[in-house]
Amino acid sequence: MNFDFRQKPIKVKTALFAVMLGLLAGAVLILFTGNNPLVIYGYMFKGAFGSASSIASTLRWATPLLYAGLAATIAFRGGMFNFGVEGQLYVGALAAALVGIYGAGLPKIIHILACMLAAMAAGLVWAILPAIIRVKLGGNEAIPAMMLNYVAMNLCDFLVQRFFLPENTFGQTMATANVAEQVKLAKIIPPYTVTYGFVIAFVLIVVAHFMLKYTKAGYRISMTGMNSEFAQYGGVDVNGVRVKVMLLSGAVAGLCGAVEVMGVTWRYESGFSPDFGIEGILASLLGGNEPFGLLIGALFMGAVKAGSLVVERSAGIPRALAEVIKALIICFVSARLLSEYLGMDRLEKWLKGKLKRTAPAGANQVKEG
Amino acid sequence: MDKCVQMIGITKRFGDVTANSQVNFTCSPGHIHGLIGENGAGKTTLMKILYGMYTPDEGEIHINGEPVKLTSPKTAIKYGIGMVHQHFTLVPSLSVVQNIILGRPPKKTGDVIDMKAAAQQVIQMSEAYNLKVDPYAIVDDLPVGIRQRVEILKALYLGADILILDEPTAILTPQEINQLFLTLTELKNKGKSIILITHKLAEMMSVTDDITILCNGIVTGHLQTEKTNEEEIARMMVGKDTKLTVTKQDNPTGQVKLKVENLNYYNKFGVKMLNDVSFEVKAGEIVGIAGVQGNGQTELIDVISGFERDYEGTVVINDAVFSPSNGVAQRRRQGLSHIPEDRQTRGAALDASLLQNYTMSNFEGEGEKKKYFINWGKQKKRAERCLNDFKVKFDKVEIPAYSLSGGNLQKSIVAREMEMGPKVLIAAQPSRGVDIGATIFIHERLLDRRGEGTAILLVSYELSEIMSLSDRILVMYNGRIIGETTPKESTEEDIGLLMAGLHNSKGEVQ
Amino acid sequence: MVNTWIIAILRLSAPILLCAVGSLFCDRAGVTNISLEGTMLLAAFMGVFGSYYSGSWIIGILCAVAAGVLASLFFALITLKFGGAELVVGFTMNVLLDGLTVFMLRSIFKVSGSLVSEKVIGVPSFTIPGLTKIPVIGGFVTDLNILVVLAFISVFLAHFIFKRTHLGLKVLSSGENPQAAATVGINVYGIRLLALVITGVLCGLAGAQLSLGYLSMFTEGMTAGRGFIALVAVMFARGSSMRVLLVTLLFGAAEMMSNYLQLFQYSSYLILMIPYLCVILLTLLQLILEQQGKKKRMISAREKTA
Repeated sequence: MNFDFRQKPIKVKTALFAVMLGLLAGAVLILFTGNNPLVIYGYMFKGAFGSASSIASTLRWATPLLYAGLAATIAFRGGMFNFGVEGQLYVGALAAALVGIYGAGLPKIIHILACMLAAMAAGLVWAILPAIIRVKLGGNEAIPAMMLNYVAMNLCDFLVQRFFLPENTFGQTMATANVAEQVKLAKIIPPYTVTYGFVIAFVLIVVAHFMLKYTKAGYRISMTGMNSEFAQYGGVDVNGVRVKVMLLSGAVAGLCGAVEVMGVTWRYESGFSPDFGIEGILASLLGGNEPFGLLIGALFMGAVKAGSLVVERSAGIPRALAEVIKALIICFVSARLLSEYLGMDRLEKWLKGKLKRTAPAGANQVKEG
Repeated sequence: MDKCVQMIGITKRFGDVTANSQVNFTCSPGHIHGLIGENGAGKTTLMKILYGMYTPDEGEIHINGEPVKLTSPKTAIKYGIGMVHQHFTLVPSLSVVQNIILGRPPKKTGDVIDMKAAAQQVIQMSEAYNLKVDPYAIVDDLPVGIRQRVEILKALYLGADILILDEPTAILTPQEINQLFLTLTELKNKGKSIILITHKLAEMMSVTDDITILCNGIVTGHLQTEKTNEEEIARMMVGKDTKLTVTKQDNPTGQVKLKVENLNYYNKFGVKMLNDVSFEVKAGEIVGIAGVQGNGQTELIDVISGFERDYEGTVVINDAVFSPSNGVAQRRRQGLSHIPEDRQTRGAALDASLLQNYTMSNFEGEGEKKKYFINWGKQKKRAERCLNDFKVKFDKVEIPAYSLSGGNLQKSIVAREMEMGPKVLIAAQPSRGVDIGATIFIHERLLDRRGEGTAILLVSYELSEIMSLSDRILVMYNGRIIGETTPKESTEEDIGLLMAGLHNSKGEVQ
Repeated sequence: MVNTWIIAILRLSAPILLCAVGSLFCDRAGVTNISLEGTMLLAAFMGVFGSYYSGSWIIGILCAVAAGVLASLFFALITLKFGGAELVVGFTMNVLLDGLTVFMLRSIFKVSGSLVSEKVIGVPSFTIPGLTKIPVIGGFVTDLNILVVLAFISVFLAHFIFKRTHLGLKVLSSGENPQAAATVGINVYGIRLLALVITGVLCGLAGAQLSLGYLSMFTEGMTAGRGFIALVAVMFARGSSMRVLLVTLLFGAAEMMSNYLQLFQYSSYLILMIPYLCVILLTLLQLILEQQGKKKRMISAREKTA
């Protein structure tokens, strides 16, 4: 089996075209449920952007994807597959929750930092095994990481059940007690559940972009992902890069769990993540594995999620529809030759021709991303 | 059964490049036809058209006077055309028999293969044509010369009366080459037509009956071998009396800049690829390593550059002593540059931009250790200047590397590795896949660096390149340096013998 | 007692085995297809769907197979024809098909979580009379169903195809050296498409076994990583159908132990981890053994040339 993955840039027009196709396919499914796609997409749009609460919902759902997606992006850029984001965010969430509960005596800032660092450490540790498998044993890290996801979820639930269940719970949900008040992340648009977690994520994205583009370390990572033999020939310690990238990815994934616990659920709950890890990977793919692309991808996916919740409430269409649309879009993004096949090139030339004629002389040409 | 094949007026374009232009080519039974030309002259393209892998844009193919349409290898095979490719098309994990009968196995009921009958046929053929093989051997275990026999048997099994061989001698030892030519003569005597593609003049002269010369996609000559000579052919290969080599002045040498001592290296199969290798290269000197590919040259470069660390021995670059624990970055910082053998896997990241590729050569260079950031503005200016100096054809440095032609990509790699005036330069196959004009250009730049005091280690499988550039020549055979000489002291034939391991430099038989 | 264990192992291994054999064809043909998980899940749903509306388990199986084939054709379309990256498309398809099954479950059947209904007719099991009481052998002939039998037939069939037929050679060469295959006139594209269709059929049967083979119900996400375990089995087997069988039985045994242990007081979470831990341990074991093997060969080869 060939697990070689070379970074290939995505063109904006391919992405837009894929989005169109995905929405079209979604429309077909909506028709099957006996609804009018335009009406439903209208609800979706309103649910994502139509009011303050909608926008807050979009941001709330985008936030965990920013972290998980950043974890995936960092790994992908270095030529590694971190499919273990889900497990890493679970252990990170538990670590943050526990520090949040038991560290109550600490001053506020230190306590918050301690929670986050604990989460990052837990996520990093959970990424060690896949890193070893790839670098020391020469095997592929993707599937062991996936297996570790299942292990992590069960392990965390077990630990809670055995050691950390608060008294007097007749729990169906395996969950810890609430964390201390002081570590609960403040909301930026009260009373909605969008917290400073979003701001921190945004900052991290900017930092990641800057690092990848302008630092030597970022260059080493990018080149390792593009052609590791070439990178090694040029002096990059390829194995070192791979390990560091995987561990960093795990740490960021752990942070995802922390932010969700500290910002939204205020405790560790079994099954609190509706596949944030997988969604994060999808967001990263959508964004072409670039930090700013990820920002757009995560916001898009957050919007679709927020919208799909409203659609579910008002029209009864299951929110799983959003998953289908998102996944189809990514498949279509990857299908480079699809647009050629459907004659999109001719359509594009025709459109460009029209634009040229209507635009005044000296106007800029439509640039491709 | 005896077939006469004519290709008439064949033209084939790939985008802007015209690979073949109005080419006429004929081959008749009982003859060995040579097809010769420089790299990129269009020889392989023409034969791929004959084998049905490409369709010509213009022209026709006639077999025994009848026009035919060769739309795929399957059709070509039906007409009795067989091809032995430059890069072997064998499946390593399968046996000899399985590889030979792959296209059309004898079957029992349904789809089940009759292996006994298959083995029988293979043994019969191998005796008929004097190509000894063990039917049940696994191809992966076989040496190159035997693998080529399997390839030939494969073509014969499918009923080839016309056999095309594409650069068959590139990876053979001199003895294996002789064996091959004996085989070809035997096949010719049995009435087969053989088309031999090569760029090596000596081979042309020794085994062919007639020769067609291609230059830049056009036929520049049809000659009968016994009536011509190497100079005439060479002239037709390049189109005019261009310089075939550079003129080299003597150059004063300085201190030792590269020294290797007692290098020993086992590859991942446990084969000893480097056996106690020691030598020096001085500043202002070009030392050429001559040898047939596969005798340890690749491993030598990997060890010196630090790409490979599981070796024994010492490498000294610019007076800094490196042990196996020191990596590529440390060596580059001492002034080591390296033009790699394989530009596509090691020399470049094809999806990255020219600018990103350019930066790889200098971001770990001398004095770079302390810096943490990359100044892309500065890099861009340097890259543009560097690539323009080397006459690389490009629009802007942001285009991806895969959009360059092979020759231009090679030039860009040579350019960036030579730019900083390195103390030590390893040049492996520097003019591979590059046309003759660009080759001269690269050779002249190498001589410039030599004049400026760079110590150059040249590794090439083209003996002519070694002869024209080297001050000293070391011959590698089986992982050892078995001889040292200079271009003035020895002829190409002398060195060829050393390359085959037959004599050491004192003239004693090994 | 041993017999009950054998019965359980056979039943539990069957879906993974079917997927693994399909994956074997893909792998040997040179296609990296990681969408097995989603394909099996879709097939499981469509199996229940077909059985529910037709009242026949045969229709259910056919629907499952059709679903598997459609999913594989989608993969083929996007990757083979339109140049999509196999890993990206495979990974994303798992999400796609998971979402699709949830969507269909909730919008068609108006339930969430699971679909349990008497209308879903499961695959009947049969027993070969007379041999049931014999230890060990009895385990192999009791409580079988057609899908389990097909699973084991498929392994031996695959073994035969690869060793003795022209199709097998074509697949092996398409995967290992497609240029070699192309130059003797083999249609590599066609072979890869065929491999994907075979995978679709086998994953379809696997899904049917999951949802109709013992219990008759569909649960969201019921494949629980089996598609990936099948991939691991194939990676570990390095082309040998027999090794695929061995590894799959091992996982079946791990799952059986896990189910069995749940009857005791151990925490169910710890037990659920067992199969996944087994996969990881097996992967580590294989990699370490390979490294040792390489080292040994290197040392002995060095001794020969020294």
